[in-house]
Amino acid sequence: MKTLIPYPVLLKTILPYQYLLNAAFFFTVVVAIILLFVLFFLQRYRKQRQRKVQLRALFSDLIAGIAICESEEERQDTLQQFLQEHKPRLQKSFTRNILIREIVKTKDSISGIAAENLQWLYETLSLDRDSLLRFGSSLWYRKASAIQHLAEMQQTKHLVKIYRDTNHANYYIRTEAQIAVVKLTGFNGLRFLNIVSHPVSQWQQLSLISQLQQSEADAAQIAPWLRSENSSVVEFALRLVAIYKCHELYSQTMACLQHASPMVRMQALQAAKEIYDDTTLPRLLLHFDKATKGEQAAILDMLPEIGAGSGEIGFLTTLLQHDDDGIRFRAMQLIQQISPAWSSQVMLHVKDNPSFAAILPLLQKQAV
Amino acid sequence: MKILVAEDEPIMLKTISLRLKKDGHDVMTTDNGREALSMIDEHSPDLIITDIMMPYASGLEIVGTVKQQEKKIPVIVLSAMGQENVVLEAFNLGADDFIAKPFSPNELSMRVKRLMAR
Amino acid sequence: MSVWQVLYDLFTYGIFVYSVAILCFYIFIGLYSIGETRKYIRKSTFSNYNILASSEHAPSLSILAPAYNEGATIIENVRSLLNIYYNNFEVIIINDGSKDDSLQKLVAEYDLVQVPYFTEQALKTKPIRGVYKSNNPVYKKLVVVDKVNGGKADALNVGINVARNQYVVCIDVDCILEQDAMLKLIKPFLETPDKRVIATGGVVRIANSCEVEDGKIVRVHLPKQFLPRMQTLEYIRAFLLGRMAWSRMDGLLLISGAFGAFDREIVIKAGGYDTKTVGEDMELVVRMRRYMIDNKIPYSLAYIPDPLCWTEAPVTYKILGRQRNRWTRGTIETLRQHRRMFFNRKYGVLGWVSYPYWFFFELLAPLIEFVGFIAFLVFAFLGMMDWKFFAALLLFIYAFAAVFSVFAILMEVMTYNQYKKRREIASLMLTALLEPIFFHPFTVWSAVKGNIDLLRKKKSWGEMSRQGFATKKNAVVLNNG
Repeated sequence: MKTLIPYPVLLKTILPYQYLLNAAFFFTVVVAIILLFVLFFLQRYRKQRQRKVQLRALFSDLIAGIAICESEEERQDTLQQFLQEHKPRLQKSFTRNILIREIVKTKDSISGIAAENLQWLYETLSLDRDSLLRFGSSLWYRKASAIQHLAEMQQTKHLVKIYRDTNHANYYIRTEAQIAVVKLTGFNGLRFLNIVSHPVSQWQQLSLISQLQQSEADAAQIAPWLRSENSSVVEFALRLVAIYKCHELYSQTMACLQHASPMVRMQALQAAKEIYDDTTLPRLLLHFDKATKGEQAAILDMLPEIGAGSGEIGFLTTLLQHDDDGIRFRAMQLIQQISPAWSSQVMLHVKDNPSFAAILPLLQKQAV
Repeated sequence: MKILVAEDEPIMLKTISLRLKKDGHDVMTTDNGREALSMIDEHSPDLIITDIMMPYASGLEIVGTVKQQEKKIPVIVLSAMGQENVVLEAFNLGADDFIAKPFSPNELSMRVKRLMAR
Repeated sequence: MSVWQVLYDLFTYGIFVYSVAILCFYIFIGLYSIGETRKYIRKSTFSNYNILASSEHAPSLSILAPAYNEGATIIENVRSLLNIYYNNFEVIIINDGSKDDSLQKLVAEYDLVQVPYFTEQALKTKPIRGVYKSNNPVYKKLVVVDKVNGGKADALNVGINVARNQYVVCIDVDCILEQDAMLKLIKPFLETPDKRVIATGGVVRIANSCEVEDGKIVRVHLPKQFLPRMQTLEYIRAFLLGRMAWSRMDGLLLISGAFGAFDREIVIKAGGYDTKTVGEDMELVVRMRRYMIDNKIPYSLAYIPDPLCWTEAPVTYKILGRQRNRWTRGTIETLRQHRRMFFNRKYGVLGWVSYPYWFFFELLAPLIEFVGFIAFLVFAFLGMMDWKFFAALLLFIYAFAAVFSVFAILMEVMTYNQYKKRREIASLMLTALLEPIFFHPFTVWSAVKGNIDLLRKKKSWGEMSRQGFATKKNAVVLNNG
């Protein structure tokens, strides 16, 4: 901090001596208050942490025990055994919340009967009521976490309520609700894309895709998303086209190559790679000159997969004049793959060209 | 049957070990990769079940190390990283099986049995 | 009224206005950071970072770690980098012409062989001598680049050229990372849909006295030595209050060179690291931001307040002095290079808040303090001091400094609570009371020396590269604001 201000004659008139002392005294009091508060906070924090550690250990036994049960009786026995000793503890909402968190966390990495067992535990202890209470909270972080818990525990009966929040103004509530409906109803849950007016972030797209894993796709539903005014929805739809290989959406996908958003164009290329047909290659080559450098590189990278052959040698040879050495290198590599004979001729030709100095030795090594 | 389970999430570790104990196996557990490697040297288990994302050493490193040793202990990799490249990498390094999370403990138990029968 | 009287009035009033401004700004920073921190903590209670580790569609990243004579620790550091929680990544170690056996050690330990490798020459750099990869499939994510010595900035540029992935993460090789560091650092790139996120930065914390095993922090302790403890307090203040507030205003000018992630394409378009400055980390961020504004592309930067990266702080006055001296020069050079932004409407918050803040309160503060101190001596010598008033003023400033530091400690305790023992917190509080007396004058003096060095050595910047950067660890400029 700054210590300044020498001999202050005039200053004294606007800033009387007493003011300074009062302010200094005030600051000292503030320091003392913060100090006391910190000590108090640490004390409480430590107690709470100890309690949490104890509870987690206790609950981990219960959760693991329930998870591996093989019959209704076994489940009941395990739970009763636990309740006999610890039932009073479960009355506090603090404790119940920790239990919910632990169950949810475990359920996330477990499937099959074990997962059903955990859902049974959650419902039998009426933990859904706690979650529902949180869901009604006006605090965004409570509500968002409640949505997450309800979805993880497959509480389909609250689907309608959750669905309403898929276009919520709060980013976190909205995204959790979107994930929840997909988790609960699979691909059909994605119909919120028809109404969502907020952008669907890439992060959200990854989260949604990771929820979709086992679901069947319906191309008819994807089609309108490809024409959505929300460009993030288009981007996401293209990802779906690529994942589910929706050949019937080929023409709509290719149309997205002209989209104003660079993210959409890039994603359209990725999708085209997955659903290409005989017309893809000529169309991409036609598109090539209008594409950005990144898109050009992406197109070159996918050429071998979509069936480039000796017909493209001419085009690739013209690319050797390109001003970007990444593009030149890719073109050269492709020529090498398609026609080694032609590539050695080309190499003779470019060997004195300074712009090839950096990549030529490497290309030669690969040619051998 | 001596089985080493390496997994850094305590409840998962407990669930897996309870399930395997139910099948009558002798289960050792650890929550980090480094300890797993030293336990392998010390106890030479008959089977290893390992997560990938763990402190100190990853499950893939454990697979690689075990398979470079003379006694090729069978390894099951159990991970949330179910991407194709990770699965392929695990098998390339010599993993005997790969189970993606979320997984079913019963299925794990079956796979252990099948692997031991080999 | 004589001329002297007028000058004298100007001087005292000037300094008075300046002090009031700086105090107000500190108060503003402190209060403004609270909301942002609270929001971050709340959202992390239900964020699931693992999606990034388990998704096929997660973006790819290249971790760039330049190394110069790091032979003693390099094997262990590389191992901990390879064990980071992420799927789609490569680790690129750039051996910047080390004079020790770093490269030989890496080759032996990781079974490396030289391979043909295509590198874009997007940024001009010193030549590469060879690219090495491992024969052992366990280490297939490792790439070692051996190059002619050119300094840290040049090494990072080579790394950016060699990198094959969308994002590059620049780190100091001797930093200790939390294992989920990459997940947290990359997430913001995907979370801002209508803007392009060009860089994200993390917190740097001080690792002195912490228990470290196999490249991982096992237990956090407050540094036992005096200087590192002072710096711990400084870092808490800077990262928990300062950066947080700047990030909320979208006015960050700095992402610490010790740990930050960048959009590779934008780095290249902006021209990469500047090899001619000692403040290359700050300079790059400013240049990238200017590039985005000049080209009218909506963009943002993100800052992650979690403690993700730990580093050893200088223990001696000599090394600390050199570090601060260098930071000062780096700041001045960066600000000079980008002086067009100063109160330039085109640059919005940057031009009207960030740049002026850095200019007036980071660059000028030590100089003004120093001048103030000289003036104090002169007045005292001439017998012109009103000692009573002076004492009150000093007390006031001191108490204010204490409040600000103690407030930072409060925020630390209520958020991350790294130092859990009551004794450590008490010691940190004591540090806050001692710092203005024992530590602050030293940092001022180092900054003044930095100014002097810059004036003197103006023409001989070429020597920079030959020094390497062995002592350039944790090059983070600590702005309180």
